[in-house]
Amino acid sequence: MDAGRHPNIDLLTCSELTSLSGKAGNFTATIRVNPRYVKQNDCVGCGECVEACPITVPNEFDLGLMPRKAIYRAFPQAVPSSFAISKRGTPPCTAGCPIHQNAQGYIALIGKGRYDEALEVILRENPLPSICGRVCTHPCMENCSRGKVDEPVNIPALKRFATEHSNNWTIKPPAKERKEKIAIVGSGPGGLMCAHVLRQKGYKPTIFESAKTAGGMLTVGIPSFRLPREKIAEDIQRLVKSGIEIKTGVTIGKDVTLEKLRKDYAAVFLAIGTHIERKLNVKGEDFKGVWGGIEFLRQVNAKGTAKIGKKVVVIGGGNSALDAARTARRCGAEVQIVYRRSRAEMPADPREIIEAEAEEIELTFLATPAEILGDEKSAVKGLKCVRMKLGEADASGRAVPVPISNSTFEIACDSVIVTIGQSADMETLGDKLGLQTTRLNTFEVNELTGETSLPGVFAGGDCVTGPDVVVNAMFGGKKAAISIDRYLRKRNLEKGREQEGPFRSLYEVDIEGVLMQKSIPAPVIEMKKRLKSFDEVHTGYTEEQAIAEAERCLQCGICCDCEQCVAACKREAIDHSMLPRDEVVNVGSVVVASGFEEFDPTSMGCFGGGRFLNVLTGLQFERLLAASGPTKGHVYRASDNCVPKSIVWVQCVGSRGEGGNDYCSRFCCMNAIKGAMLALEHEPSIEKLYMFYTDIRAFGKGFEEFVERAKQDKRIEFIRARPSKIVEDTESHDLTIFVETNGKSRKLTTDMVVLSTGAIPSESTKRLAEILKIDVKQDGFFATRDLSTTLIESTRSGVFVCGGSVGPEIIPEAVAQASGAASLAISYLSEESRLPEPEPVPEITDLDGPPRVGVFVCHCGANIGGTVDVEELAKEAALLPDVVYSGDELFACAQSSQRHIQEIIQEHNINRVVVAACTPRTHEPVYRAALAEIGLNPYLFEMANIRDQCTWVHAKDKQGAQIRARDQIRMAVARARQLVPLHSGKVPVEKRVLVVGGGISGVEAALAVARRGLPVELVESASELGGLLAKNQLNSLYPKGESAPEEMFRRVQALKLAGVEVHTNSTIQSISGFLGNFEVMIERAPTEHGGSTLKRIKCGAVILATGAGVYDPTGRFGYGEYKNVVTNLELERKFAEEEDIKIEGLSDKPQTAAFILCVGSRGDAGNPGCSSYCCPTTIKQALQLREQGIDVVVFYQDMRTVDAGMEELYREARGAGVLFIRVESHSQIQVRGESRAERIEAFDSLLGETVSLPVDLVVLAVGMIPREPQTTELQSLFKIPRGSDGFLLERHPELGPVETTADGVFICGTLQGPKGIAAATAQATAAAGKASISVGRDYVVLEPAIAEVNKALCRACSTCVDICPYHAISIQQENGNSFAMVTAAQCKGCGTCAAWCPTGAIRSNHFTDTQIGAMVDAVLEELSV
Amino acid sequence: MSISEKHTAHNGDPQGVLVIGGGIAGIQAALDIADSGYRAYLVEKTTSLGGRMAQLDKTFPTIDCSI
Repeated sequence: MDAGRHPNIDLLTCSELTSLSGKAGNFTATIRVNPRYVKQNDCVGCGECVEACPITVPNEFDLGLMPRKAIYRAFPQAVPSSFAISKRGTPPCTAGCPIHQNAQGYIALIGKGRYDEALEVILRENPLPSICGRVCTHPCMENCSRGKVDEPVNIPALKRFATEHSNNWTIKPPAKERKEKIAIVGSGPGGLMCAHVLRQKGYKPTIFESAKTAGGMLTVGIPSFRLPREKIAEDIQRLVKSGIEIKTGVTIGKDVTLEKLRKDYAAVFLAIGTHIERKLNVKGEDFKGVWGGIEFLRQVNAKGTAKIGKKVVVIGGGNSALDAARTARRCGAEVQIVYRRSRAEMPADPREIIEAEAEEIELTFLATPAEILGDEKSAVKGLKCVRMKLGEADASGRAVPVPISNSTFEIACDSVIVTIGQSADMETLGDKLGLQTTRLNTFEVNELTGETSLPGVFAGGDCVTGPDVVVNAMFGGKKAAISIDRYLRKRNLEKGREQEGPFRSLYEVDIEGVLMQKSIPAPVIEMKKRLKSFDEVHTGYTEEQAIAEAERCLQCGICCDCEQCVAACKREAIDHSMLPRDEVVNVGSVVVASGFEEFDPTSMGCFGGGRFLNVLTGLQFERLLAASGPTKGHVYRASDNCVPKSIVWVQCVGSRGEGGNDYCSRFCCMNAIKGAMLALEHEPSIEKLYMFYTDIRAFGKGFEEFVERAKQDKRIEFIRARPSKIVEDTESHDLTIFVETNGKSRKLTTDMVVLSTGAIPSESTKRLAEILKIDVKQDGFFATRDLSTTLIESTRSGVFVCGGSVGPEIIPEAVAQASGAASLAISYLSEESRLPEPEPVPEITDLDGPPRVGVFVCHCGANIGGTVDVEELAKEAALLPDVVYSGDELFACAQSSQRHIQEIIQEHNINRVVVAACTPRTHEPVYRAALAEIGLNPYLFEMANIRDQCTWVHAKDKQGAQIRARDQIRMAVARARQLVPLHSGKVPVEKRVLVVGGGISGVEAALAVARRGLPVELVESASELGGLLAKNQLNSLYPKGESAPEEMFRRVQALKLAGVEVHTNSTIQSISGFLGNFEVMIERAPTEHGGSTLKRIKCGAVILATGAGVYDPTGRFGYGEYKNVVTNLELERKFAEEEDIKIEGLSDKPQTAAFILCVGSRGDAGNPGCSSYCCPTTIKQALQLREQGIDVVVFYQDMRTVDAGMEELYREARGAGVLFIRVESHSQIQVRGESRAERIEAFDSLLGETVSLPVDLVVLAVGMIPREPQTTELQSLFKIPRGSDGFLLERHPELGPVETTADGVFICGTLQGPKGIAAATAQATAAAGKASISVGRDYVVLEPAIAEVNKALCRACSTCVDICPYHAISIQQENGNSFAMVTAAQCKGCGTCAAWCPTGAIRSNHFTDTQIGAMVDAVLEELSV
Repeated sequence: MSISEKHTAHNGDPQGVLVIGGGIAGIQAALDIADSGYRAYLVEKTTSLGGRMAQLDKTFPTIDCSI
């Protein structure tokens, strides 16, 4: 996690490469940086925003096992620690709304019971929510993604609910007042909206309304059973309160001229609506009882009723027709609607049509009036109609109705209401001052801006669009308001306005797996009541209904832009308006480490992955085990939150031919076994674990021993079988596994199943390959230049690949590849690109006075906090002497906590810091760096390991743990009070690297160092370079069969070209010095020209690559006795020497060959671990023999073809007829014969019977063992420890695979452990990279926490010289006096010498007696009280 | 401030190495480049570093904490 703070790393998160141009050494990369919507530098990671966020989505980090909010941090220790917001883009509902009402936002808040906030969100875009919640046609619902599942969310009902359940009824006044007055003509939705938007911008709008009541068509044309008058009044009143003036009863054109308005106001907006009704133009239209629809509604709305007949026919199909019909029904009439097209073409809101039908209004389609029939008193008595049929579509896309001849019919009625459209009242407006109008008698305006042909005069709403719905009129008003503001501020009116108005979202929401749940219908009043009164039909949702309906929302946009987080964030760090940006950088080379993804087992239906609650993937199970995971480290079943009694693992899910992937995913076997062991540790109540597997592939260093440990635990049962299916009990959610073992069908019931899911290429691999112009392999992972010898060079020069993007990897290999790739990548950079060393922060030197100690106690999530009361510990620590601050941190190592600690230190002038947390082994450097960053000497820091040494070991004794943690903190504080600053020294670096060993690893390492432009010398004990790849050793390489000597020859040539100085026939005689300054003596073996010679080489770093030896199988399986029993290496030499294999003493061509695997591996003498190279080599050799027509049998225990391309080759070998026989152990194999091996007998554990086969050749695949005496010599020369397997030990098995405990000494290849060639070269390049880092610097910084000798007390007894494990002490003479001297660069500060010194002359300066004494006193303190 | 602006302001516009992916391999590569004294541009698709390894509880065979 240091990558987050390294000054030379520019970290770009939420980012993707979009293009790469140029060539190796000079690429230009464009990176799209997507917004986090949280300012990284301002966010302190407090998490207040998370509380405020109403959106919950599955947490990807926990693989969906836990929810997270739309604003989130992937995990507590994430780097950077800043939160981020997930946005998918404008949700379809908002996009479809002409005024972009944020429906998802208020729905989410309603779902959380936060009605005030919901209304606040509504009011941001919409000042008329009570109105819109009732009569808006809600285009949002047409776009609603939920509609694709079952039914759209009832958005209007929810909006209305918010208006009725919130007291938050205010429209905020504008932030800034402006002096300009604006005249608005018409108080309908268009005029009101325009006035509101202008008012919010600070203008002073005045609305002129000709009627007595404001509201325009809302008041006049919409009946109160749909929209109660008081609701209109409320919405309008709120606007008036916000500073909008409404003058009713003023008709523009009559009372005030348009010209005067233009003169008196800065701008004019015309929203006069369409109040002139269109006529039918048929005979009889002037009879009594013929009404215009609006005329009728106006009268009812004004007077409460109208004189209408008993039988009414309403003509038309729009909303007005339905309103008129339903109103007439309430006036006591029988009502019939006549519409000329069919139901599908009716422009009215379909919900209104359903309501009308419920109110027993008859609908007659495909009929048009031909004549209104009247009686003698000129009163209506009927309607003559003509039947219609639908013809071609017209310009609007609707089918044109065509009359059917001779189809007239009559409808008896006494009233006819005509609602076939309206137009604007241009006449009353009077002098239009030259305003252009259209053919349809509407104003002609610029569609984007609403400008009319007169400057400063704008128009919108129905008088522009023709009769339309409320929300479109509001859009017209909003559009004009934006234009007026721009017009008055003299800005361009059109620029950037394409996004206004409705549009379609750019994405599709995945609706797979969404449970069906239909919309909750809005409650209505009884029909009886409905038909007798003008009471509102809909009564609105109850709270319960509203929340349930709100929860149906699919949260398409993820973040809903409700901006509750903005309000919650005290640091003002959240900015929803952030946009993506492009970064263009010049790079010499590229390292691709884009990773892998977990195989999705849903596609393999037979195991129930993704379907059954208690079936988990490997990674999901991993999250269960994590202390910071969804169950805080407990193994709980999802179905009942209980600890399972038994768990079944199924290996190879999505690997080795299952689920479409041929390759082996490599990590799953070990990961499953690790998971099983941890599960037993976390949950002792688990009784039984079953591991179903094909082969256990424990191929890496230390893996075999790990598996053996697991096999010791009787609770884990390993079963070599593959289940055919898994069935779930729908009630108990227990799982039954169907499996065939030893030919018998077996059923096994278990509580939980873990599918060991494999790796698949990450989704970005293909796209990256296209951008980078590199190849991918058939399996979808990145291709490398040459599969047998390199894992890091891609098919394009200057582009390197590593880690899981190349194929499934285990961590140490990925780390080695990454270091190797980095080294090769750097070789493309020029020396000028080197960055200057950063200037250190000036150190605080004022440490006088009593120490000021700060204590920070870490919860480490539940790791510490779950066992002890951390807050209590912090409180108690505050009372200790000199402690000026004591507090707790959730994860003290998190970046945000580090920043917090730094702030506290500065605020309280703290000069001694104690962190009570985890282990200083991994985390001390983190805190020391944090101290150095603010100028505090990093040695004024002390750590109390209250996790590893307390809460982990005493998890079951919480009380005891609390006491112990308190003691540890008290001790740490006591020592901290005694700490003094220490300062590092510097020594110059010898810029040269020495490589020991001239095999493939050594040569590759030397080449890689040379490519970095650094001098390098290579020492090889043989007379020629090459090692195992030299002539007459290996013949060809797996998996591709390249010639080993040719591969080697190519590299040796390159070595010569690079000018690497090679010392053959030479060995290391001695080494002295330290990192940056080694002095190595090499001894050249005597030649015919003379005796041995010595040469001194000064170098800054050493790479050891002397390789491994092979096990000598003499005496086993007839080796050494029978000539036809050979090792695999000997067979390799035969391939090199002979065209066709010949067997000594056998005249004919051999008929059959048998391979015996693991001879001298896996605990069978020799190597206790797996030698890993032998399975693939056997497959390669078996295929070679098959090519010569020889029958091949392979006796194996576990087939471990894990290297790239090998699983595929294994399959090829089976296809080629190679017989594989599985044996339990070597004791079950016998090789028999007289003078040569003739028969081989073995117990086939899969068949369960003994097989006996004739054999002409037996090949023993021998294990790799440490090469002697070289390994022992190196061990003692370089002081590098060896592992239990005898191989040299790396610094860290996962994270430091090529470093050693000796600084500046690196190891690679089979010296470190058995491996194939590609893995060895990756390590070699990594070691070269690490060595280059060491010698690339001008100085080595010396560790100041070391031992010091007080010359006056020293008697030069040499005890320390002998005891020092690092050879750092020597006896020196000065002025005739002898005394011990510590070489600072070699001292590790271990303190052994200080403990042994009989006179107390040596002190360990960071662990002085005073400091240790203070700790002892502190721990005893409580006892003495 | 964009990256190029930042660097031009400080120390010209030196060439670096582009590292794609902020998992364990990408972090290791970037750290090695940076420790060698060169600029690494570490590009990560998600909101934070860590990749798959951060999701693991412990790693085999050491059973060390992954973070």
